[in-house]
Amino acid sequence: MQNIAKGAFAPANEQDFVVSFRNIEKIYGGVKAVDAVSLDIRRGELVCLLGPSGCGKTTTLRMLAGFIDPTGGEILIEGQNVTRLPAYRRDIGIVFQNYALFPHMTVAKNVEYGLISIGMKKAERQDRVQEILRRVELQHLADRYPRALSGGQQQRVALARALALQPKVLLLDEPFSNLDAQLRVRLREDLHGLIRSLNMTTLFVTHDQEEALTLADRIVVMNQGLVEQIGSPEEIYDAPSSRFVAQFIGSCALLEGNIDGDGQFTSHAGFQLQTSASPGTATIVIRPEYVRRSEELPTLRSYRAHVDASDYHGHTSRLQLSVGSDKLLMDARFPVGRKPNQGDLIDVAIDPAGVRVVPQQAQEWRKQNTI
Amino acid sequence: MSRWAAESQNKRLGFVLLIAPAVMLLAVFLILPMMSVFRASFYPGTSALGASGFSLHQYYKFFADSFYVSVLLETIVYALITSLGCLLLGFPVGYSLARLPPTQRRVRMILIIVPLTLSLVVVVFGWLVLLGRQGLVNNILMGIGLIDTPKQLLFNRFAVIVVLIQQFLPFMILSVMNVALQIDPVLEQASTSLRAKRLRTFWKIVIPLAAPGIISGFTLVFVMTVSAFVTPRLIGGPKAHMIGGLVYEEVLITLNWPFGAAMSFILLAVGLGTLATVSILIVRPLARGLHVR
Amino acid sequence: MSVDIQDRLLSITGVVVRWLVYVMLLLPAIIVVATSFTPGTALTFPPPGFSLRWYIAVWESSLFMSSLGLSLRLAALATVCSLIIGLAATFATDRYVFRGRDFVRGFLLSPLLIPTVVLGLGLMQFLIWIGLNQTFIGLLLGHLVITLPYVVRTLTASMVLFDRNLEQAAMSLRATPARVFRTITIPLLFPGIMSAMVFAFVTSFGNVTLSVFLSYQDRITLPIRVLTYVEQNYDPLVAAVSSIVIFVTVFTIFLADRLSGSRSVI
Repeated sequence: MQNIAKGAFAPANEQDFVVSFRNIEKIYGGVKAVDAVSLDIRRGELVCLLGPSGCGKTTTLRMLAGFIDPTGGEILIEGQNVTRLPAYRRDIGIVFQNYALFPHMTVAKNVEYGLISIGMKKAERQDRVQEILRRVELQHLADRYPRALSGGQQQRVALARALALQPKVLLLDEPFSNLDAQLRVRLREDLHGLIRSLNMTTLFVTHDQEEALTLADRIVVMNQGLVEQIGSPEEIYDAPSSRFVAQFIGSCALLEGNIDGDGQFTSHAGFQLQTSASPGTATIVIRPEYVRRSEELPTLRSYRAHVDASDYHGHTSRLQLSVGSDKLLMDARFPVGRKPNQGDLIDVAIDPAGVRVVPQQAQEWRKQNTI
Repeated sequence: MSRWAAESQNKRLGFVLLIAPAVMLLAVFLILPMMSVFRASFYPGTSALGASGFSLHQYYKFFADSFYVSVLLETIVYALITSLGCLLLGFPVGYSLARLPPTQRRVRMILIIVPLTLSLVVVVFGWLVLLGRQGLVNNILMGIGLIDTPKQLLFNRFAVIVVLIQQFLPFMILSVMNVALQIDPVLEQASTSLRAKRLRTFWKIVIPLAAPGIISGFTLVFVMTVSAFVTPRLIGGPKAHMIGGLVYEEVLITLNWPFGAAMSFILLAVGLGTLATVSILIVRPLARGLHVR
Repeated sequence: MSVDIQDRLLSITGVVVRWLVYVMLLLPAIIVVATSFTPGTALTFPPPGFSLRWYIAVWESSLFMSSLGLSLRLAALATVCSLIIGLAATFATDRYVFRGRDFVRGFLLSPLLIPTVVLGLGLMQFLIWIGLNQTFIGLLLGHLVITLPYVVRTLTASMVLFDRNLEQAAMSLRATPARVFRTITIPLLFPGIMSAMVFAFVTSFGNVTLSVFLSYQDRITLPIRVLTYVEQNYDPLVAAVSSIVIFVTVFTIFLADRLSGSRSVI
């Protein structure tokens, strides 16, 4: 089982990219569904395509799988140009959102299906099926039909079916969206462990930021066919490269204004904050957990804020604040009985570590009514 | 980019190869025959073979004779009554079938499919036996003392309509059922729970949603009735005439093809015209009931 | 009237109508089968006894037997041909997005909208014109025109419900298009294919209106043979023949239902 990850075609150089998108483009009826996407995925890496529905992430995934022909650009798998290669010669494994288990075949037959394709001998096939079913802890269900399985079991069968062929890259299309919330978290952890233990190169698609942040080594944020940002979860969260990324991942306050020669930011409504950015018009992003009570950060400038709304979330409280006519969000723990209520005035300070200036070149504002 | 072009060329070729046989079949053996009937209806003489020329003689002959015109009207009336009768009887059955659990539905579906698949001749023959002088109905009527001697139940218009409805009812039931299967029962429950009377739910929710099935069922039954000739011939006897029967006689017995062709085309035109009128005047407004308060 | 009473009346009417319909639908077939076993020479119901004499009479009648053979062959051929043509066409309209797709679909279903009497006359003339009149192939082509729309309609309905992800999943598992078609597409469309075949078969086997124009001397289909016989005679022989037709159609449905296993044909 250990050799599943390495596959039959272990490359000479471990540094090779397993998957490369080069300027991939897909036009549907004059609209660019996917626009000049370039991306390299390293061996064993778990990359997530994240974005609102209709952003082109699923189209991108399906182009890699070979179900959709790109209208431009190239796709490489282990250095081989597969752009015009049919799906059945691409060496990928895929788990669909609805799992797409063959309803007229048992679990074992589903898993065996791909092994028959590659002409494996019967005895060997059955060994392999047993082995992989044991791995996903489903050997006792081998003779069941998919409709007799729970959602979580179906997902594991789909995964086993895809992994049985030891693909070069595994694709997951919204793999958790058909499961209920509790199960989703548990299966996510199981899946993560399995993929890691196999060192499987994986590309998955989701619209769920929490899923992306917890699972991925790198996240590709897409919007309206374009890549907004590629980076580690920390980079995406802490250093969003655009308004869209800042707002799509986590929550934040966005303020627009100008930065003067000393790095002083002044919003259009007059809110001032010291930054280290270069002068010019700018948008700054303030994450709610970096807005603190001013007694915690006594050396920093204090702002008098009006509490517009106050919601208790258990581990923290979320406050919606107004400073002048600018809006801020604040996540904080308050001692019992001292949680501010709507209408209160409190003093807050802003930890400079949580302030980001959205770079100028990504300032072009795209409508995001799809969120 | 030529690679792209070649690929789409290939796809187009595959598409054409798949669809061509069906389209060719219908183009050659549906469209051309219809055109040949149309052409034949303008021949002046009584034979279509080796005929030439162009005349409206056949159409004139049809409309100048009150017998033909009355048979045409009778045919349309039969078709309307039959379609309506099928709708009234078939709708409740089709709709309730859709609300049954699948296993129960399957059993009843077979009850409906079997008569559908029986040859018209067999069904008509069954009715001959049923309604004949020594048939079940006469036996029952005599048994309970309602009549003393067997009555002639066949060879009248009512019998024709009953038999026509029975023949085409399954088509209506299946059309309604297929649409009703796609209607979410929650919609009906929602409406009933809004204290709408059941009757109101029926008119404002059920009928509009089932309208596509009603239209397709009505259309099928109408078209099939309009061209019926076995039923009027065997059940109607000399009393009930339908155009289908006249066309049959004209073509296969009198061998006057041009006149048969003209009758066919009048039937086609009047039939489709009536169907369009009914659908515009009655069925569509019903279907819009959803948006009317 | 109160809502309750109205409700109850409505549901009682519904039950009555449903029973009336089931009885009305099945009665003719039941009567035919019952009278066919009569030992007498009159068509009476209920029959006075039980005998197979009329079935033996059918067996000995070369006219009816040759017509039965012809009808079976014709229906089987029409089913296979219209299934192949219809499956290909439905596949094309389902899988390819193209301008005028709805028009093509409508065109494939259009024979349903043409009164068969008109089509029959037209085909008869046209076949004479191209020299195919009074041939088996002409009869078959006519039947293809009327069975095709049933095949297309049934298959379209089942293809709409087909999950394309299944084919893609198979492809990602290295299956060639041919294998995907053989192991995934066809098995999953099987119930739809079976019901399309049933409809095609019984439509052809029972057709009267078209066959009456296309049958000739020694090639007369069974329904037409029955029709001409009934016009002159009125005896249990026809009941026996009709019962055979009923048995054939019921057997066809039963067989199709068995073949597609637990998945319902209808």
